[in-house]
Amino acid sequence: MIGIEKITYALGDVRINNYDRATALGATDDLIKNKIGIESVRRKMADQDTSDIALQAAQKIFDSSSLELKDIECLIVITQNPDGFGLPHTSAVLHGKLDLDESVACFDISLGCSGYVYGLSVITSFMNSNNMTCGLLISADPYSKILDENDRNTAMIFGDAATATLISEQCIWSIGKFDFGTAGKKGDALRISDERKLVMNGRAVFNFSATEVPKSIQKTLELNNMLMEDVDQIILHQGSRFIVETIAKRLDEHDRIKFYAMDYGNTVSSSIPIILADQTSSRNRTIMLSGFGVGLSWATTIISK
Amino acid sequence: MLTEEELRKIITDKVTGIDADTIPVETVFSDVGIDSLDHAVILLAMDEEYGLKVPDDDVDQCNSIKNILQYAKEMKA
Repeated sequence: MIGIEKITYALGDVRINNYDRATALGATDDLIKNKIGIESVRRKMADQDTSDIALQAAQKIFDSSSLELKDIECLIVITQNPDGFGLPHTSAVLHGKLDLDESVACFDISLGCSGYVYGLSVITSFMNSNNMTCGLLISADPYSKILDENDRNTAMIFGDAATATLISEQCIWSIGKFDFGTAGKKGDALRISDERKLVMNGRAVFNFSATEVPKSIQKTLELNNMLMEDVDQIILHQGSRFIVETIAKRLDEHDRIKFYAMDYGNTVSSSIPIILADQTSSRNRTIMLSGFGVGLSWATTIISK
Repeated sequence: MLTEEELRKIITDKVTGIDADTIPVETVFSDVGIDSLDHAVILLAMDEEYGLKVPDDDVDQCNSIKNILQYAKEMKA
């Protein structure tokens, strides 16, 4: 059986303190601390591309384990902000930078905040159907490429990061059944403008998250024949403190659901694995993961030690 | 139809630190510390509990207790 063996991550090297630009963006300290919840965001270096920050995360996998480059059989990158204009695919660019063997299968997945959970299903299914036992799932979606730094709705929220998840037979986490969904008619809530900048309808994203995620969590419990008390922790996509705490309130799950991203921001498909990376040695043995956002789409699963 | 009492209960229940009974009917929400995020929570509760849907274009006009009740009356929710 394959599952998650190890997760590493790299945050953007540049840190921007949101309090320092609160006045300029028309925000208050209270809004930053208690509503957005993100006190500083990360940005990649200006001369870095998506594959560069992905490389930083991937390199940490090799630096911190006995894994060798020749062990890797597939490499999947989740991004909607690929290198260049997306051709060649960023996974192929990263393949070259890592100097992986030419037998390695590489492809990208175009998803946003639901991407990591989707990616877990895609990579394990792909590996199982091709008799592979060692693969890398990368999330790298630096929104700084598309942010309007004068737009309070997005500039104070999104941060750059990348993660690398090693999927192998030496797994610490086994992966359960998934719930997926898409509300394509509401997709305009998160889109790219003609000026190639991110535009977010915060109210629409909030309504979607507050109503669909609790339903997906309940459905995922049923799919896995579990009750809420069987789950030690729920890691939600870190959209903002307000969204995470609203979902916690609606589920009455304030102990299992926390907001973690105050020091680096909403890192899109990297938000869940960044938190999960630090849970490897925790006492939590059963963790629910729920990603939701661009699409609008969602994906939820349960992993167990 | 959504009553003033029901609306005040939604506001008190959904917005942390706000006692809606102290808000005059004509006072604009932002003047009593109800920001756009809190506003979104109130509007979502009105939709879920009373079926009153407020499209994005009408959100700004639903900015006080009086204006929401007037809007609900017009929409017959």
